[in-house]
Amino acid sequence: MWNPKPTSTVARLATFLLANALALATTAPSQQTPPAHPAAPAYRISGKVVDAHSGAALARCSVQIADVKFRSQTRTTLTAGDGSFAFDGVPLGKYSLTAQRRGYLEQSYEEHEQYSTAIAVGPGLVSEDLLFKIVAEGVIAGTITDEAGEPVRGAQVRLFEDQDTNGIRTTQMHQTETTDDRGFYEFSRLRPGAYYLVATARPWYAQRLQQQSHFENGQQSEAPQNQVLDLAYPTTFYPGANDQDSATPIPIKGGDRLEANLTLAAQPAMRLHLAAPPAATGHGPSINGGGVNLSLSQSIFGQREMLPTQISMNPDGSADIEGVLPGHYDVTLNRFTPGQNRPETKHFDADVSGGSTELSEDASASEVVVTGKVVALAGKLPPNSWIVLRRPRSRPRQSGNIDEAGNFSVRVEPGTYEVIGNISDMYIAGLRAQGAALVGRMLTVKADDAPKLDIVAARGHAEIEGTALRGDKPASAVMVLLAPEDPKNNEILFRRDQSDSDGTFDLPNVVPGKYRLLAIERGWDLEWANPAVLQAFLAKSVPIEVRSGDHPKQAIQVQAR
Amino acid sequence: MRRGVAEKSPRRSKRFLFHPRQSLHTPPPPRNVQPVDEPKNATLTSPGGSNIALAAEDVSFMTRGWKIRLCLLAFVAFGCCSPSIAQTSPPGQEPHTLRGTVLDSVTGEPIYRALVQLGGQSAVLTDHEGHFEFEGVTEASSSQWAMKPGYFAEPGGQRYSATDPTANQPFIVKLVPEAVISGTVTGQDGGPVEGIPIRLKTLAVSNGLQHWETRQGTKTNSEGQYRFYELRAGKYAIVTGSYSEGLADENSVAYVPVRYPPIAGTEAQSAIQLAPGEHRQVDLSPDVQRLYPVAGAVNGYGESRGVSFQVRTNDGEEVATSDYHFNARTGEFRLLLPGGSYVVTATAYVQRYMRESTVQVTVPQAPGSGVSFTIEPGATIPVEIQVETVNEPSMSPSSSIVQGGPDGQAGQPPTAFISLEKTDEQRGYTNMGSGPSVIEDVPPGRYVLQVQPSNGAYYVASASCGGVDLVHEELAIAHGTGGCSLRIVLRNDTGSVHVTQRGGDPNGRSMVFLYPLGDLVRHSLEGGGADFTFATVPPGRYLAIAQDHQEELPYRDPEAMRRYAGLGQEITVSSNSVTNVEVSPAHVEP
Repeated sequence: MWNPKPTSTVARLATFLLANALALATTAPSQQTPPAHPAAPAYRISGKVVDAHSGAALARCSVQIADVKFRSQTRTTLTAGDGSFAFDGVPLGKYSLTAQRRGYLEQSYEEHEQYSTAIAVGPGLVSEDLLFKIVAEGVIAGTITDEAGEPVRGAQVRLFEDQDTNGIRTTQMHQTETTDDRGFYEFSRLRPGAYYLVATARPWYAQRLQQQSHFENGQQSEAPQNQVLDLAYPTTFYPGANDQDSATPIPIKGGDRLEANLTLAAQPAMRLHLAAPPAATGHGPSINGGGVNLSLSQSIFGQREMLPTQISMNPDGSADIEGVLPGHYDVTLNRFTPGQNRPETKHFDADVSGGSTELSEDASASEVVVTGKVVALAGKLPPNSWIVLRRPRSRPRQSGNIDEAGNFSVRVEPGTYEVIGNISDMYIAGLRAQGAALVGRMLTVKADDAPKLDIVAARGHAEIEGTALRGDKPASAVMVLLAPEDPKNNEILFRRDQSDSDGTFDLPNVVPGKYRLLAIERGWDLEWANPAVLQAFLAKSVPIEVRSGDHPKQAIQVQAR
Repeated sequence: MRRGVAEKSPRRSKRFLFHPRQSLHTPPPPRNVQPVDEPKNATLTSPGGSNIALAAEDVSFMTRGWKIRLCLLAFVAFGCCSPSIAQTSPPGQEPHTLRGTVLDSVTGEPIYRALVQLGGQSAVLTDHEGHFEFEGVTEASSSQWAMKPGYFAEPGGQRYSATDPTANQPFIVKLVPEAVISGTVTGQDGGPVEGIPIRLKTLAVSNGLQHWETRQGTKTNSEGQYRFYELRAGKYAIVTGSYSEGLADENSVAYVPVRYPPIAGTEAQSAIQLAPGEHRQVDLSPDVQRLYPVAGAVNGYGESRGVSFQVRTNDGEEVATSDYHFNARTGEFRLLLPGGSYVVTATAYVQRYMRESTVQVTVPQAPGSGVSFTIEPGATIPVEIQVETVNEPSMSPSSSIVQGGPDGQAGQPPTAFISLEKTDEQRGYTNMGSGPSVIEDVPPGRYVLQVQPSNGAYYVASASCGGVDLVHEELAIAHGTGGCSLRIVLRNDTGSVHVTQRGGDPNGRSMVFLYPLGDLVRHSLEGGGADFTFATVPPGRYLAIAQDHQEELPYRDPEAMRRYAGLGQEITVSSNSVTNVEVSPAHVEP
């Protein structure tokens, strides 16, 4: 079962309430309840909540069931001293099962990523004596100190996590915290896994001496300023390395509370000078024209992370970034023009090796504008539709609104992107590109390209339902995967589910085409999106082809790892 | 200083003399004040957030290489370095050595690794004994400042003056340590509660009235701990927020907001009084209550599609109410409230006005259903402004007596920005009108009149509404009343006040405040310098005080002002005459 569950309790609560509020706003309260079956037989959902790591029974744990068809219909109970819980008089149907307890992560039964196993009740189905294992939160906390052993306030501490998400193992940013007056930070509510800790900060004493302010022509301008104690802290990875290859992962088990301290050692810093654009001499937008912002980023585990720096705009239209250590950086310049929603963005590659590094706008890489037109195969395109360009396995994505005529434009940096349609109830049935290389859904954009996409959107997603079987018995909590042909270039076409307690699964929103259906035991930490890994499981897969609007039923045998 | 229109909406008084960077967004410096030799100040916020006032003299620049050398020296030698200063300033003196020590103002202990800046030119870090040294100083006089995370600058700051350069007098810079409030939040079982919102409130003064405002918010960590730091001495309170535990259901429980200390007789009794450097531990264990349904109907919400509900404890702390249902067709609503007694307000936007209705609800004793809110239109208050130009308006706006407000010009009849500020709740301005107009839809309550003439030479000579003298009384608007006609007379026959500061450091930064006494419409005026004139002062009684800090005193509270009376001089300002007053800098408890 797919869990439509936001990650935080608050958000979940809000969804729950919103659902109720909407129900009330549109229908009378009495119509809100599902149709009642006066004489319908009732069933029982019961079990025991235990700590996933120690196996200890957990008392006073809040347990909730929700009808998967009417998610606002919930029942909640507290576990007894031996961790047991029971819901009597449950009508025929499927129910999500969720538990929450102080010190534990809120989680659903057999939860994996955004999937879990719903409990089916009915004749001959097993819904009792469930063992509900929940994971205690992990905590990583510690102190950031400077070279003199004093706490560093306001340091940015980033936590990266090795994740198996969407079939690929990547190191993803999990959360950022800021140290307090003791240099202390804490990351709580962590799931078991491997984490990397990274600290960035500016030495507090690396200050710009503030000078007299002048009032000129009624406007305030700041006199040039002195930079003293020009030092910077290098980006520091646990346990104290300055490069990510020497970073050591911190393994967290459920209930772990680990201390990770870092010491930052300041080094003499450089300055990056960004020359004024030619327009600055006239009336055009200069770098300090007001509608401009500059930021310095560094690639940390493949993700662009902004660094703490001090940026000064000079009266001549140029800019300085202070406190930069030798290394490779990305400088982003956003220039806002009145009347335009989006800034003009330029990226500079800065290799800082020593002394002062000069950058010029001529050396910047401008963004490429990908334009195109979407044509609906039948009917009209719904409003509020978007074309999204996503770098594989990368969080930042760029999107462009599709106008009434079907035209769109998306601005991206040069690179390879997956083309995704965010069009309500429709899928991309045809895709062609001019002026850039396209393989499957993957578009490669080079600088100075002017790519144009022709997209055909169609209605009628297919849906595949079925049962995962171990021999002739239903298999609960296995990963069900629908893999497209040419998986390498069509990542967006993968569909997944987790089988419910009666072995059933449901794969909605399938784009018509040819697929392989697989059920894999403990497949959750498998890099299934990697074609080389997937290959080993294809022999025991079922080929399946679906056309628009199809709704086939398909049983699938579970294969072991 | 007369408060500008732009300052009204955030209910915080602006201190632009100490925040020139913010002054871009605020009105220009005080119009009716002529500063004499007023030093330029700037505020530098360290990464730790300590606000340090910096003053800068004539500035010279060094090459970058030199700076890097300096920092390395300072770094390696921990501040014992004595770099020579580049002699680019006009040499007024023989080069001399400047030595000093940075001390904690509370403990008197030396502060290690404080950053000391001399003028705008150089900086060093102090050693373990708090010592610093600058060699080859040529300026006769320069400003010198120290900073360190966890410390604030002393009010007034420091200035070094080398009258005898050969004396080499050691120089003491004191820094004021920050205060901290921290604690642990536990549940009924004594276990820590993680993730509960905690707010820090502080007793602030704006428009001469004391009120509690939220300063910062945080959440408890996995051990139930919270921490507020970088606090100045002052009056504070800690409030836990709404928090529910367990999965959302009527079976779940909620933590009821708790305030420490509880609201008591006076504002001061309801406060944690923090001294500089103090660390106060405040552990909290909020009451846990079951959630009970409260249902009923709202009337009078008109075409409004939504009604929102605000729930407050009797201490005025907000209880989260994201969990309400409202049926726009029938007006029926349902809330889940933790057991207890609450003030519930239903708010709807009817036409373009925000209207509300308030009911006291106690659960679970009272019936959980049949709670009724009736949203009614408020009073309509026509405004008439009469301008009496007694004096010839000055034709030269650039003359030393600056006239004209942010949008007014000298010589033109002024308009006025008028608002009614609710006093019986700690809430913002309810309604505003500009110029002769009508203030519509004023809900029941008690109000004080706020008038901001567009021309700073004018003042409120009288104001009344339905026979109530609004210069001296509050305006009470009852349920279902039609309102009264507001009549305001503006005049420009102000007086002026010439202030001489006696005693204290001639370079000191005492601010002189004129606090109006005995009415509700005049504002305080502030200015700085040893000898200066408040040019346009509305007639009336004032208390003139030279304060050692910038915090406005609660001048609308006669009780609170009584204890400040001895620190200043009471004066009476008359129309078209100069009042001379001599004040001595005083230490004034905020």
